[in-house]
Amino acid sequence: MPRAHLAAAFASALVAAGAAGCQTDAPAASASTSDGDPSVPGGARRMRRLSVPEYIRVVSDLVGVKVSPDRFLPESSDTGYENGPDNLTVQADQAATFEQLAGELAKPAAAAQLAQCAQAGQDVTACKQAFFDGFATRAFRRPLTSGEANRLGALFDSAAGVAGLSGALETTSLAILQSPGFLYREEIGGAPADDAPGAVRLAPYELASELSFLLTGTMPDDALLAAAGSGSLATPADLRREAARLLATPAARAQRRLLIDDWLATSRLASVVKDPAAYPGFDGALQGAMRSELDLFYDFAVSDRGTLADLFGDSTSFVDARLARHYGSAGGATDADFPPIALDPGTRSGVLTRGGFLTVHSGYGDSNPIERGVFVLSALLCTPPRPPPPDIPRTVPPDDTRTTRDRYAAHASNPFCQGCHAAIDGVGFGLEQFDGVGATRTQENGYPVDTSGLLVDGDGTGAPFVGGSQLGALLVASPRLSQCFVRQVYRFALGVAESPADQPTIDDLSGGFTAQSAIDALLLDLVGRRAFLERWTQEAQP
Amino acid sequence: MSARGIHRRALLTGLGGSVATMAIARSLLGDFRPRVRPPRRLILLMQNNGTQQGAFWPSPGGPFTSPILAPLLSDPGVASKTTLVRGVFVPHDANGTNGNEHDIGFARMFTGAKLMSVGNQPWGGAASVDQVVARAWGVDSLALAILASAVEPQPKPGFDHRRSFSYVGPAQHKLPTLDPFEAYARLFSDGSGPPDAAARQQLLLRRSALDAVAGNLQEVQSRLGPAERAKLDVHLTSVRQLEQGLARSLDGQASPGATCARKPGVVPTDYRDTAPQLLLNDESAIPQLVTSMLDLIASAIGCGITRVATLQLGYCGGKWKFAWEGMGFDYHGNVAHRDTSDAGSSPQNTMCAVAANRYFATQVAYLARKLDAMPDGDGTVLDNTLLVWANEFGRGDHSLNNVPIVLVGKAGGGLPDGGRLVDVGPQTFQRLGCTVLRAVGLGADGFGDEPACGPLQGI
Repeated sequence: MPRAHLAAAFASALVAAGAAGCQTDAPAASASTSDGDPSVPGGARRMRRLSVPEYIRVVSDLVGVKVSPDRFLPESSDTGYENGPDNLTVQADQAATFEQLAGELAKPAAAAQLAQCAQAGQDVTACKQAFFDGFATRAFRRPLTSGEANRLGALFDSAAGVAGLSGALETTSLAILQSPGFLYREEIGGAPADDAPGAVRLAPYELASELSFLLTGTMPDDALLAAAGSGSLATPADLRREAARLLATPAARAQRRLLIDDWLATSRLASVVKDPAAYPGFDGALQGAMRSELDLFYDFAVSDRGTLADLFGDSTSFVDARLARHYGSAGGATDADFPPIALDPGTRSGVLTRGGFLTVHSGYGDSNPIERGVFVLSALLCTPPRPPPPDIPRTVPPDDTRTTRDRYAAHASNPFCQGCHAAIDGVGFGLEQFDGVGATRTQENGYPVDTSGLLVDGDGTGAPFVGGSQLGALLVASPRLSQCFVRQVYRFALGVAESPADQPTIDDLSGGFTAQSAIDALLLDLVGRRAFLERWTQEAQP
Repeated sequence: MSARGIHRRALLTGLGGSVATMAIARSLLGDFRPRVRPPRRLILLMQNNGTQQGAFWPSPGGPFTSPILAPLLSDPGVASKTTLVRGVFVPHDANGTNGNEHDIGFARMFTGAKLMSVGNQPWGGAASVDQVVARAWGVDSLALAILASAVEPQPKPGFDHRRSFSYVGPAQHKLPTLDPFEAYARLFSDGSGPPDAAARQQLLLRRSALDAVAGNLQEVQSRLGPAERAKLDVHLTSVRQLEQGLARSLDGQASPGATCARKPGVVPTDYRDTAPQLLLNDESAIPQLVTSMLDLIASAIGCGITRVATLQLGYCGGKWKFAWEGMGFDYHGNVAHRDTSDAGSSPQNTMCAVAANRYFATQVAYLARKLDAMPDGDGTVLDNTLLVWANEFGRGDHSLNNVPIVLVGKAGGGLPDGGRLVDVGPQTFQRLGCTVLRAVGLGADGFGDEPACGPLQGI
């Protein structure tokens, strides 16, 4: 994003934040803050274990080795995001995996250190010191505590006695790579926050990790660690300065992509299987092209352009010949390339109209408008419909003499169903122009497809629309989308689902943020907030 | 080195060789009972989508069998050790989450707790009974699952909780192993004899490294509150288990079951390295996977490697197609949902529902017979085991009433003889957890959020 654009957006976000902070009727805890930040500490003090993708990136940065994700047990994320979700643990199988991997990684780590020491002509003592100051400190993303230094130092010495310098470096690396300082991000804090009883300010090195993992998905770089070490990573302005620097890196592009990919659940595209009878043309090549399109489109919309309006409204895309055919679009695409092209804006504006999104959000052999509607309401607007009541028919029978929409006709005629299905079906039906793999259709089972929909608002009124492009435009115009995105970013950043106590934070971050705002401005706003900088000391939050 | 305490603690918590240690201790105290009683074991099997009620329960006064249960009850030995409990229900309480009946039955059945809301998504709110028991016994459970699904390779967005019914703590899954080869390699792989001097030195260095890791864990634990300390306790326990593994390797044993005569006769397919889609979105290996997992459980329990095992058959609300039973469509939407009365709906639908559930009964029978064929103390391993076969539903149309509960085995005397259908009217599901705790010898007055509900009545 152009820097001027970003700065302007950030400035407006700050103005809005400041204005909200001046309200006299703010809650007591908020009123006591000195800098006009009404946000509250971001949950309790905690240890955030690196997620598997984070571990893989960190290991690559630290040791230069690529580890396959297949080495790990599939895990459950309670936030839906991989940025250090709070629920990750190290169970027996995982400890075994981490130990085995540490053994494999300790060899190149030790070899690299040995070469450095030899080059510098260091003796064992000097080499040990260099190793602790260098590798160990980078691995822990902070200086070692005296307890750790003693423990690992004793390990080093005893290993050196039986296995020499090389063996000592390897054995100590083995311990470092299994230690909590490496496997977890500490958010424990030090000094109590002076203006908020029950809260602590996170330590500079903790903030460095929190910031780096949020914005780049990996360990802090040397400049960030240096800032933490020199006392220049303490104030909101410090955090925002470093954040602005990190947001300009390639890793930040990848991290924004990841945020959107998990939010929209398109990260599961690779595992999707379709009924070959219903979608004979759906193959690996098409699935791969959809993946490439999404990656390039996410980069374009959220990194280059940088707003939700682009993500949900832009008709630019990136397709190869296979996907161009699928879209019924001419384009100059070849088999090997995904050049930017302009799709028909009336049909395919925004991510809701793209093959990858629609393939994920459909049934095995049908478009499944109910699932689509529930997803848009739940994940994109944060207004999940109530679960269906017990004792209602659960499945509408298949019927190839009608359109999918007609099969659900009872939802509209039965007032009991209508309570929820007006909103659910209103969204889902509006996407019926797309089949279960995102191809457009005008007929289904010989009948014309009706792709008119209704976006029901919180107050029960509805905005009619026709097709996915218009739905995208309505979402962009709705504050519900931008507010929901703030909530999602909170979960992504903090690794926990927000509790009701966090509402002041969400509200205030939402205050200046719209679909036209720079997403980076939201991130810059967040990283200077108490929610990012502080934690409650008690696990049961006040 | 500071971590010698770890080894001492491991010894004290009674892992590995504890039975012999206790026997010696007893004889020193003048207890000269001739025989050490075999330890009790616990196995939980979790099924989704309910059963076909009309074909599940034996008819009152009739023979102790049914169309679904025939594979299990046709073996008189196993039938005599089987108790069916009718009437168990799960209250329809999503506790303010987005959970539907699947989530309620699945995440509550063995945790006994209310659903926990994590951003409105439903999660189990407490450790499940298998983990409570494993912790009390100081063992790690063998947690296995078959989660391959063509229709739903991953649970729908926001419903990751559907990956496991077993919880180490609130909203913290016990993660199941999906690849039987991995479990086999860990538990039963062959060794190459005692380590030579170089290998021995490597093992000792690895153990020293783990000692340092444990020390670092304890140090950071001291700075945390109870919940986060508990999270790191899970890690610390895992590290101790690794240390025990290294101790075994130093003794020349590659895996805990390397030399056990009861280890699986066949090494499972290495799915992850040869055909990972069979663990993810291709269902064609499910019958083989289930057999491999049951073999692993029987062997791990029979060899005394663990005393607690769990097997999850599909996701909560799973959508298997049961091609191996002659179906070929999403069972959840096309069969279970249409089973709208205990008597069944259409004959065709009932036939499919019976076939799927009979398949599950066949698997339970396979495991029970294996355990019953292994001598153990005065009886068989099954006599000293409690095997619970439970379900997230009673009936496939989301009914949480009459959830079929099948208790197999005598739990070392913790359960009376079987061969019975217990039907004393509706009883709340937390009693099952209480029954499990009592049967395995850990006293309890209730379970989960019903701390005084008592055990299942009528048993």
